[in-house]
Amino acid sequence: MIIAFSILSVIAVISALLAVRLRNLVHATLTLMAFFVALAGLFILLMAEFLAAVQILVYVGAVGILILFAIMLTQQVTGNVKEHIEAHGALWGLAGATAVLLTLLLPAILKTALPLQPVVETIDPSVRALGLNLMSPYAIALQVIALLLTAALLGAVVIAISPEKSEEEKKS
Amino acid sequence: MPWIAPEILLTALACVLLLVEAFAKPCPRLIGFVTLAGIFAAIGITIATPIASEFYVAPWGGLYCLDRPAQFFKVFFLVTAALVTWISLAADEESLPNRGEFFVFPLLTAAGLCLLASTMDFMVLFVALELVTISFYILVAYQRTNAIALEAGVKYLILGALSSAFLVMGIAYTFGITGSTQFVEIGRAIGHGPLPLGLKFGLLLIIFGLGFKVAAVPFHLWAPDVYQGAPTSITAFLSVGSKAAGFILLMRVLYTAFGSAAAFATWIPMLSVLAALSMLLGNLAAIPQRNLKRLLAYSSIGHSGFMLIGIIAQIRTPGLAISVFIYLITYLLANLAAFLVIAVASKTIRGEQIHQYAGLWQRSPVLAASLAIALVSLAGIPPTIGFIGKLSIFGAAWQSGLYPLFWIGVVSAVAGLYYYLGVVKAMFWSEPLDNTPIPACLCTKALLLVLSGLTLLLGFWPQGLQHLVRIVQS
Repeated sequence: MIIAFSILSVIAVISALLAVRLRNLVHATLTLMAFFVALAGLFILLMAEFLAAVQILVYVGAVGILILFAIMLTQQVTGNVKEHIEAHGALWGLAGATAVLLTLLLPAILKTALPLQPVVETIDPSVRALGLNLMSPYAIALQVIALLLTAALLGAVVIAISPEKSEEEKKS
Repeated sequence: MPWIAPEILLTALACVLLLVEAFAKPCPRLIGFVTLAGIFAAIGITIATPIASEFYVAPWGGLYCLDRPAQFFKVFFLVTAALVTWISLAADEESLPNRGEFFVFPLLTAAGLCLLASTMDFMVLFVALELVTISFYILVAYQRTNAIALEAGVKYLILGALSSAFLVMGIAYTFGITGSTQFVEIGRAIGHGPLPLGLKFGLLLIIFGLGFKVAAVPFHLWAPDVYQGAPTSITAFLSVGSKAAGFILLMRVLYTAFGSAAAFATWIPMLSVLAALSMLLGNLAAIPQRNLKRLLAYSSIGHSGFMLIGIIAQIRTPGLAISVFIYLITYLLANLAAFLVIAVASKTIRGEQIHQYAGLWQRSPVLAASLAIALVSLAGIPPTIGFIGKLSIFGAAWQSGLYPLFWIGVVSAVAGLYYYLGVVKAMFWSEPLDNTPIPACLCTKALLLVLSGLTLLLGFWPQGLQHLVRIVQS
């Protein structure tokens, strides 16, 4: 368990760092997908097999491919631009982040005793619990998510539609 | 389920209007009027819904509650949404493309805000907050041909996503340690013992996330740019609706989930620092501003600071959170009147610089007088309702022994006088750049008369406000 966890976390952290740091967009996307796979592995360790499957299907399968398509179809994104975004005070940011990590995050993680979950006798498929929770108490949250996605989709269309096109529609 | 009827009504109306817009292509103004009618119906339903005598009724396993504060905030949000729709109609922002769809987003935002007013669970809180925020991202960037609006939209999107990340991280820590996302259950799990360090960290992150929503210093950096770049009606919505949402969430999370003595010792110092910084920085940074919308953005940061005092005072002396409610009412009346005037005037003036408002009195007495009353009320000068708001906040600070915050508040309020009255001086005693009168339709004038009238009337007759507040308190 511990060995699997260590391997997966190391892969996750390294690929996440690479996804941010790599200059080539395609490579960055591929490392991002590697990160998603490692995360799916971590979900399996937590006995959340449904989440792991969704992680693979949605993030690796759909989102990753979508990003690749977007890069391919967008013109002038070669991914190897030599331009650098000037980062002023990157050192200060690093120092600040390290300070927060050492003084707040690490003590918070190490000193806190998490409530232990009871050991399960029989493995209950997590989909069942998930479905029951989503449908009975959290039904309202689920509905709001649907609404949220509608709003986001609508917004994307409204903002992306070219002004000339909407003018034409008005005239016709 | 009558509790959730306003939310259902608003959502259904939004969906119907979208379909009608897509197939029938009606005139955008008509959609605006239907939106307005729908919001008024929702206000009626909210007021008519009976409230159980218990402290809160909790359908759906305690995820949702409808108590007096929830009802107050629902009506508050709906009134704001109605006035914002009105401002948008009155301003007749021709520059906005796809105006038909424009009115759908305030409806969705209002539904999200109503849900936020009665959420008792972090899951529902987060999705409802995201519904509101995503609608706001779209509304802010609506004039996408305008570079300033686009910049505002991008800034709001990136910083908003960052603050949501903080909030989710904080919720994750809280859930990990207490094992629940419901406020009441979290409060029970914390009990009377000391707060574990992880929970303190979670609380810190949650306050980061909510501090962004109320635009408290040091999480205020987005506010001036976004307020300036967004369409004026949306700036009004952000400055009143989004801010009030932050306050009801702070009250719910801090009083219900983190309501033990050990938790107070953690968050009271944090909030005190936020309040002091917001009051000072908001009011001092507003002084050099030359753009009226930017000036109001900084002033709204200052007002957040004043209201945070009320939140802290409640802990020392129970019952004083009522000062926040009073302050919010005064803030709503004054701020929406000010933005209505800016929206109408900028059609003719074509700008929001203060020097362009010079001599507004000679160009349009109604607009100038309303803006002056609104600014005087925001400054907190006696015959207006703003004075009652400031008085109740400062009274709460004094009563509960928050003397440092009291004195910082007084100093910032005095600094505030300078820039509010500077605008009034420019409008009345400066020579206008040109003398063309600024037209305003009868509806606008009537609405301004109502807003200014209430500002003055409730200032002279604070018993009316007290009566209203007593209903909320009961």
